[in-house]
Amino acid sequence: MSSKTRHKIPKYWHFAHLTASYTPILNQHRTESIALLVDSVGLYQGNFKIHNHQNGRIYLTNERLVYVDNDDPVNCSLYFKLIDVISDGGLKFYNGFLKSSPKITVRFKDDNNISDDSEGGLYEADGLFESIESTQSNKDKLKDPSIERLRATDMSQASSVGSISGNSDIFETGDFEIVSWKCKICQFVNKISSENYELDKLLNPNLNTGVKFPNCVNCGIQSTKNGIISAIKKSRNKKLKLKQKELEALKDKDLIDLSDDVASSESVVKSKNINQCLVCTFVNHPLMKNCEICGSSLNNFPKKPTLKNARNLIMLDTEDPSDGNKEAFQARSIKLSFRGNFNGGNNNNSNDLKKFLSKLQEMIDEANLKDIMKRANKNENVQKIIMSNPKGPSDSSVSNEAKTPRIKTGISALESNQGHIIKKNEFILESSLEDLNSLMSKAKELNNLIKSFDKVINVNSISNNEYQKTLDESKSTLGIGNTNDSFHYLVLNNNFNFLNKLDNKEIFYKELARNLAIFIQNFVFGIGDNSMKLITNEYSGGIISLIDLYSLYNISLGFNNNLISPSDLLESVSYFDSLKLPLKFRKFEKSGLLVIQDSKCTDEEILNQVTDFLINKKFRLQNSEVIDSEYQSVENKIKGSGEYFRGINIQTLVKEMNLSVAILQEILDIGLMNGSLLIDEDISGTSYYLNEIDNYEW
Amino acid sequence: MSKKIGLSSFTNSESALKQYQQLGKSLADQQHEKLSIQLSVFQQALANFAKNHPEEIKSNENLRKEFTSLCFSVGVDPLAASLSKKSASKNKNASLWSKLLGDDNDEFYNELAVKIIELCKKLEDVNGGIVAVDELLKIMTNPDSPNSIVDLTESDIEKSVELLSTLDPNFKVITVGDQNKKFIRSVSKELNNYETKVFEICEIMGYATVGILVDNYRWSSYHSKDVLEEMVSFGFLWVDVDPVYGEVHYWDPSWINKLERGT
Repeated sequence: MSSKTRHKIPKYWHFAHLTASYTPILNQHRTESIALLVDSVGLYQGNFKIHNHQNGRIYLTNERLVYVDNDDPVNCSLYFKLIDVISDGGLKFYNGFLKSSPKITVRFKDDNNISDDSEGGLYEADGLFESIESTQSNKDKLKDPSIERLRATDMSQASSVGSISGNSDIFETGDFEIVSWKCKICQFVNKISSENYELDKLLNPNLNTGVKFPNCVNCGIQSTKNGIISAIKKSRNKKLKLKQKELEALKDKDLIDLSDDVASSESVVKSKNINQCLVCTFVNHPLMKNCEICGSSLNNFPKKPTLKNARNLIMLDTEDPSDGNKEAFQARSIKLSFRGNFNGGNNNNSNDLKKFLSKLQEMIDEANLKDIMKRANKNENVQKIIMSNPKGPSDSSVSNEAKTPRIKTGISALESNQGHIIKKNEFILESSLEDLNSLMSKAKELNNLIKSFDKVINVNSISNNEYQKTLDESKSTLGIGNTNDSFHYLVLNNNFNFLNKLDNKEIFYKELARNLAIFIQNFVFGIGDNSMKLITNEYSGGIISLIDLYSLYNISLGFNNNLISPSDLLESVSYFDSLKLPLKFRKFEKSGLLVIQDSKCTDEEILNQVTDFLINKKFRLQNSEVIDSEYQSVENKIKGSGEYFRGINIQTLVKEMNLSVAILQEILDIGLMNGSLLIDEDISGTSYYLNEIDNYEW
Repeated sequence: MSKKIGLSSFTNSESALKQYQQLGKSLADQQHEKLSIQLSVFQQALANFAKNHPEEIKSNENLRKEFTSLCFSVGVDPLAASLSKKSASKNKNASLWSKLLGDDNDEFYNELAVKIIELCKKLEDVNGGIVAVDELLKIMTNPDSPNSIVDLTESDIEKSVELLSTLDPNFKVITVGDQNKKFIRSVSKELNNYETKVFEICEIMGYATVGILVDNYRWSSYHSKDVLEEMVSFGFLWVDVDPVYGEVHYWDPSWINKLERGT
């Protein structure tokens, strides 16, 4: 039987944050991109399997290698940074033999050379993507067994301090020894530290003449000699025992065993127990933020066991815990075991694997190179920041005015100034078009310029409508209109590019499904953050037709970027269910229309949105002056109050609700069937009305 | 300028104001003209870049993103650029090569499909979801736009639509009349026989009237009117009253565009 023991994670492993559809969150500077993906991978620490990390996907990006667990992605996903890997000879390939699957051994630099974790936040959600954690962390906090356990140990520690009160407990803070004793008068547990008292002198009964016994902090009564001595003795005994146990349990510094026995739980407590108040020297409970005695804040408050820390514990399936663990953690190497289709001596698959290996090596080299460049360029960066110091959106015009030697006034100045601006624009445009590189290096400037175009137009809006029109027209032919900015966003955020390099069709479809899910949730339904929704509308039900999705998604892939084909899309959406993504793929029976729907969103809800809309529209019509007076008077005659629901045709609804005609048609049909809507067909089209007949008092 | 007083100052200030306005207008006009020239030149250049350096842009992730967003902000469609590039190479490599280079062509049709969806959506307001293939082609290859696609053919469009019909069975090419005029239908409404007949007439005349239908197909006038009005309600036809005879003309919206372009 293999036994399982929990261990603190080695330094090179980091906990990976995931998006809502369980793909890694990429670095916030958007410099990271996924290069390769392999499914069915297991992780080894040294020579031992890591428990619960035996079935996952690994994403190779240009900065990291991310393991995402297939079974429990939220808690069991890890990554390591490529720069932490020994660049020369850090990888070893094992081809697999009979039943053992092919493996890649990755060796890491020693702890001193590991990049520090201060930028760990880089790979966390920055609000762009709703992280899976933000939605689940609260639940997890309650559920996570390891958290529970940590809590339990904290509690037991707290109570143990109290229970020993019979006389004492001992802690060590830095070099000082702390003994707690209980006042016989008020039962308050006092602490004395070897900093203030020479404990040895207190212990020695012969020398007690010159020694002053400590007073109770609470009631001021001096402690008795016997009480103190027994307290010190007890605490020292305890300390000795602790030390012995510690020696057994904690041979390696990195290993903190969290198994249930008292010794280890107390050792955890001990390791954290540096929570002494700087003002009054009172040693507070490790979880206190303010001193219990004097109320001053505790700066040296140790990091409390957060969710993240708890996740950083990994379990090994080892044969012999005492030996194996030590070895495994000292080995400073891990293994990636490629199961699944790579098994056996199939040539194609081992080629795939070799491809992966060489890609990994390439990425590691690149990452290292980048690191070196970064270090070398530190000063250059400073300069760059100064250079690109933003001067505001009207950059070009402002700087222009500033540069003109004399500030002229009058019409001639206006003219010459204008000429200036145009010259400058010309210069930027021309120089940028020399070749591709200069174009891209000027991209920011160009964007500013284009913004300033807009500005000029808005200022002189009298005669420049035409120009606005040209721009609008060319934009609207692209179907972007005002959602321009979100398009930028979109293009900049879709990292799907790497998938074209995947040969395995199934992985490709699954990954596409995951990416589609993020895309739909963030940009179409706007579940995470409304600001990034492409379709900015209060009513946009959680439903989109495949045709629309195809178009939107492909646009998001950007220029010349191996768009997906219709059949790819069709294939991958059928994986939504099996991947447990919060979307469903369905077909409307009547028209055969295929749609993607939020799995929580029902037809009734969308129908309710339509009826809500009709109800709100009524009020809007009343307030507006657009309604012609003749119509108004007829309307008043009919209902007296003037409160009525005006019919609406499907085209208007489409615009207002941002659903496609086909979907809306289906929804409206449902409304007609269940009697909440009425229709009126005439030459101007079909109008839909709320069914008020049922509610009317005759 | 010396300040004038008295009654004459009123008339003077008025004329001065006018002059200022004129001056302001001419300045703004000049600026507008120059800016729009700059813009169109830049658009064209950007489109050319997309055509000439597709590989470079594609291979560099950041470059690609920057470039795409730049294109969007000035109103250049990078898709169109890459389409015309591909369609040119497609025609060059016709026959044997096109089979060998199948991948690239797939890509081409995928891109074209995106474009078609965009346009169909945009035109749905006008034509109720039925658009002639040749009209679509005309829009996409319009040489005045920086986003025109060169060397595009009707059969390319048909092929792309065929691909799309896997996503939506309603999205397909339908054929009307003896001359096999092709339309793309993007709505779920099926055309019945009468309606296709009306489209046939519209193909020749640009519009249909009750009288024409009665004369040619021997339909009753009630029936003719009914069919035509139903098509109007779906948005396939537009109503226009003839100023001379007072007869109602039911126009095919694509002809409205044709006439506009003619004048």
